Amino acid sequence: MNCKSVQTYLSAYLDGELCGQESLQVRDHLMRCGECQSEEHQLRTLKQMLRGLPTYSPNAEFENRLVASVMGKATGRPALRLHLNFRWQVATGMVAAGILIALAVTKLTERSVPGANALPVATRDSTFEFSRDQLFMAGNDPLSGNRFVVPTSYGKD
Amino acid sequence: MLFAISKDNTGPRVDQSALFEGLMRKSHRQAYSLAYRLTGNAVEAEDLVQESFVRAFRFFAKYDPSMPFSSWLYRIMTNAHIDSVRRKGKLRTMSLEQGGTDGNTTWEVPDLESSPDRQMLHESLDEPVQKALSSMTPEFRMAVLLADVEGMAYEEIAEVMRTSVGTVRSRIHRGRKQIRKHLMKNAPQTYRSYTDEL
Repeated sequence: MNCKSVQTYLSAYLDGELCGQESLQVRDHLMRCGECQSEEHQLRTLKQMLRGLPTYSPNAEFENRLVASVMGKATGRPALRLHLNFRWQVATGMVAAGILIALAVTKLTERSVPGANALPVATRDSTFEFSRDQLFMAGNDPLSGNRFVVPTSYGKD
Repeated sequence: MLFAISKDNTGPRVDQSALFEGLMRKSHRQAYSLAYRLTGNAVEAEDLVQESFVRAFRFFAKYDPSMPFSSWLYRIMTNAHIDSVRRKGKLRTMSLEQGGTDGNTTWEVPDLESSPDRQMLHESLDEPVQKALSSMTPEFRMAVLLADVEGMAYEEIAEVMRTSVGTVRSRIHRGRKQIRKHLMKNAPQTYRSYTDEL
């Protein structure tokens, strides 16, 4: 083993995770190589340091809060589930996507006549008259897809 | 068959709820300590523990008792932690104000035989080590913590992380080297004091 391969094995060597043959080879190399010995010493020190780090404890009331939360969430789950296999999941997804696209296209191409069925009683207000004219024109447009709408108040004045 | 509507058999039965609650009460402190090391602060540690137990309870019917409950829980926690880190899209680093003095967390120094000086050194290294851990990828962080803090064997870690022993070996080795590099760069005096004492 050369230095490079030994050094990649050092953590596993320190953790006792190498097989007998590998472990012997690393140990043999370490006895002859000062640089790898130093690396091994540093990693050993680091491992000891990590092992000795303090552990953290939660607040005293965390335990009961946790239990209440976990059990509460679990009991709130639905009792029934629909199980579909993968092919049907894909098929269902595609159908759903198709419906959504169709709805979106319909919505985009539709030219609505807002308030056509609920036109207010005509007033002499010029803004209203202007919008009423626009509605009328939209209703007459054969490409609009809307029904022919004639405001009932039209022509009363 | 197109589909099947069935009663949800992935959830635990009533008698299993009591069993799960017992396991949760027994293991939550250890889980919290690992979660704190993974997240770097008390609030996120509590969230991670809670999320892990919620997932564990949901799939408790699938738990194989031949595996230690803590290992199974850590597997779930690994996934929950990685999900959380990816959701945030960035790795958090711990602020100087956080740590054992935040009022929500207490210290427990397990090595009772160590000298007061060694304890002080450990405590002074805790913050830079936590920062080093926070700067690592969640996979490296988990591998190092399971090996060095939880004292698990590589095979056990591989099972928890659902990966090969070779990958675990590589992650632990590279993770430790990253921590050392971080300490030598950011806390050289404290780190040297510790290494000189040994």
